Amino acid sequence: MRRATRIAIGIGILSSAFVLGFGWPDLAHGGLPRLGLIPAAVGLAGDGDDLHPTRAFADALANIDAFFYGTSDRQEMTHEAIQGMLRTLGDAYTELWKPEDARRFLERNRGQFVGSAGIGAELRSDPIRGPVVRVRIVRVFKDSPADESGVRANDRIVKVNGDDVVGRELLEIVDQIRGEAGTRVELTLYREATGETFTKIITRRMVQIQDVYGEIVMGAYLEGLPPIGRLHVRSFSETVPAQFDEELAALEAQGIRGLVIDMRGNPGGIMSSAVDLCARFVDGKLITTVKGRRGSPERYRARSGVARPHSYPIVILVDRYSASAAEIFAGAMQDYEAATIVGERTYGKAAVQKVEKLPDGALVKFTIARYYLPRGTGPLDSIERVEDAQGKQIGGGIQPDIVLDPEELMPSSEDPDPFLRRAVEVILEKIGESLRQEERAAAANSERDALVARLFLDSFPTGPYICNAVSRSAGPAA
Amino acid sequence: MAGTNRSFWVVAVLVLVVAGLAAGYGLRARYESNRGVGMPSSLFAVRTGSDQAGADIFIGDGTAAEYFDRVLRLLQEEFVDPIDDEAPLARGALRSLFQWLRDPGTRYYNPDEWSAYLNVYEGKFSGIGADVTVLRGGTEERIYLPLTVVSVADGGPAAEAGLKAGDIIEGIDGRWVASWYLLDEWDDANLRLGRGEITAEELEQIRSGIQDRVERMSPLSDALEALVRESAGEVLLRINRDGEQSEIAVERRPHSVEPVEETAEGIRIRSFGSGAAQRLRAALEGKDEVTLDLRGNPGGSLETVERCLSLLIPAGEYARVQREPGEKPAPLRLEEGTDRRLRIKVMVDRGTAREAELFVAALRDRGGAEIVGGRTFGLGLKVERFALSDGGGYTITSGRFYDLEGRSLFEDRAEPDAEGEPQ
Repeated sequence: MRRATRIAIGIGILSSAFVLGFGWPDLAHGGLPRLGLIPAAVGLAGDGDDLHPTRAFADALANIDAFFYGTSDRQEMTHEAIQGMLRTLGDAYTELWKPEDARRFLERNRGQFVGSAGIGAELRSDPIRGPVVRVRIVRVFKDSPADESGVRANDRIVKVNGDDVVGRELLEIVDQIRGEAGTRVELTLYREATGETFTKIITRRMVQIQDVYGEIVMGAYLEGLPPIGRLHVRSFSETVPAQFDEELAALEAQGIRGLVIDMRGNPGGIMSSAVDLCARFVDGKLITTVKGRRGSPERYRARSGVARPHSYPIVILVDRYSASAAEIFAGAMQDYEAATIVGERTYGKAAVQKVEKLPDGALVKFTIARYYLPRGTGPLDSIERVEDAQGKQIGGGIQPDIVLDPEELMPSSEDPDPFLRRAVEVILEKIGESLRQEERAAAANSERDALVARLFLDSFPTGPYICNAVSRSAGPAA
Repeated sequence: MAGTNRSFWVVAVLVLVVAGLAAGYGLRARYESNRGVGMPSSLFAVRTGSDQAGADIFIGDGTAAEYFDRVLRLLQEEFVDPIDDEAPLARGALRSLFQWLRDPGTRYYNPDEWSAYLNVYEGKFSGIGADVTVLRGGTEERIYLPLTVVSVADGGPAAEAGLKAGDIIEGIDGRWVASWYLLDEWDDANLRLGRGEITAEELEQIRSGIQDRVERMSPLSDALEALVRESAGEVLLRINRDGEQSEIAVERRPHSVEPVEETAEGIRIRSFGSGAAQRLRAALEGKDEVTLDLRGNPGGSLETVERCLSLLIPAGEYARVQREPGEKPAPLRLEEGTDRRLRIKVMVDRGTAREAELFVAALRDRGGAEIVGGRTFGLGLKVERFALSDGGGYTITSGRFYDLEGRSLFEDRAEPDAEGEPQ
């Protein structure tokens, strides 16, 4: 080899290694080396006219601190500046929650209370006026202290620990009812149905917030007809699949002939909960594809082996507030024809957020990926909401198989829940069909059972993903 | 021999690879760490004072800068869409940060707004040809931020249309200018419904009363943009002049005035921009009696004001500045002055504002000047101006001006709290 060739090879090796070294942080994230940064790194090109957000912020804060006439709150200003920075990204789901809001969010999403225990009931303040006590118990969680003490839904709260709470703020009352596990709270309640006022002493403990409620659909129009079950899934916390199994088993024990899974008002929650719920009905199939900024798309499949063989038709009831994880569930069930979707076009939230905790307890929530339903993975296949200038939805979301118009279906005393009535009617039509096809269905079921045994594949990963942003959340719990 | 030779090459190649990797990675690591906190300040300040970059301001366990930087890095690394340009993030952060203080002299300006802001003091106007600012009124609980005309440029479109100092601009082209007051009114009504103090019907009444304004509301920054930046077309303004509402159409076009000019009536000082002192010196040459016309003067730099004063009054204390609420005002002094005894007459009006008010008070208290005209605007705030590297900037109120008699040159439009604040 000639000397020149050797030097050239040497330089080649050195520079390749340099590029590899410099671009390593990008390669490690699955991107290409950003060689354009080299001039800035060696100081040939400074940041120029660029304004670096942190430096600009820190300078401004220091200047305000040094000069401002009057008082200022650094923590508030820092939160405010971060919120201003996040708003420029133009993403509706990227936001900062100040410590107080953050604490409430965490309580809801874990499906239990953090730091304080309660009696296991959900409260609501009714928008009515007059001598009526406005705060009432909407739900009593199963096997909770409140449940065991005989507190029932619709009981109105008159006193807490002998203290008259009529006219107080809802959250204030909630805070009073909550406390450390093991301590006692005395509630004075008014029960409208019987007209009595009574006092209960309840021992607080950590309670599981119940997100899934099962019931046999009641109503005048169902008299003499076979039992139909309804599972109301209010949001997707971590424990939803387990709660769902328990509630569904109870309904099946009553011999239901059809099932309404009610996703109305469900704002989403933990994505893995929705994927896992799908596994009850579609075995081992692709449920959603999540595409982030770096790396290859992640495919989330339903677990195999937990599908419930069933012979009854399923209707998923949705409305304009069903969003995110609820849309993943409904959309995948629709794509695999595992259920009929009935209701309104859903919200259309196809973004996945990550939540990071900040040192003072605030949370920053930001979009890290978008998800796609099994039907498509292209950018145009996203169900992301499209709005007109007035904020009215004109696209995105999941289009139900049977679309209902809330303007036409107004609730009345004879027909308190027209959406549910329509869902039940759809099931009744289907039972008529499946009665004729019962033999065929039975054959198909046994075939699938065999498949379940063969595909013993558990490819379901769990991640820290949370998709929950629609502002319509459930009431506070105590 | 061949064996030795081969191992030499293997070692050489390895050394090159390791050296290259180390150099590349090391450079990148240094670059990344320098991008965060701790780099020299990018801010060249019109006035500097602190470039420790908030190092001693703490939140949680770290500094506010570290706290902020942590969020920024999360976005840089993981936000779904790559962030190629960080400057808009910085501008958004500054905009919110300064807005939070809700103070009439404290504000962030993006590069376009900043040049428009500075140009006003040089006599160069865009938009409607007026100095428009956001004041603070209402109460502590219910803040009202009226968009207010401070002064109107001579011969400009706003002057032609009859706009006057003190006019509050409530609407622009059929949209209402955002006011915190409206949003607070709505939140307040909801709270009262929650407490059972009003009925749902009453809430509905309140809603329909303010609905139109809430729904067709344009943010303050958009409103300012439409008034002081856009330089073509006409705008229809909904004006509130001392409680009387009216509509005025105003043209938008670039407009210039001479900051200091000799007129038949005397010397017109339109603003305290960069060349004002020199021009005033020339205009005062050989005079022992002078009329200074400061009508519609929106202020300018304190340095220029002092240089102008030193041509007219003796050195020494000429006014005071209060640096914190409740504090005793500290003296403002002129290093140089004149012993020449001039007979001074000063013309003012409602459009005489900010540093111009300080100038007038000093002439009255130290130069025995006779003041002609009504009340001045009452915006005598000491304001620090900071320029940013991208061409934007911000102002921070650092005090309130007082005259030598101890009267405030700032009229607080915000009503005190129920308990009352010390004045």
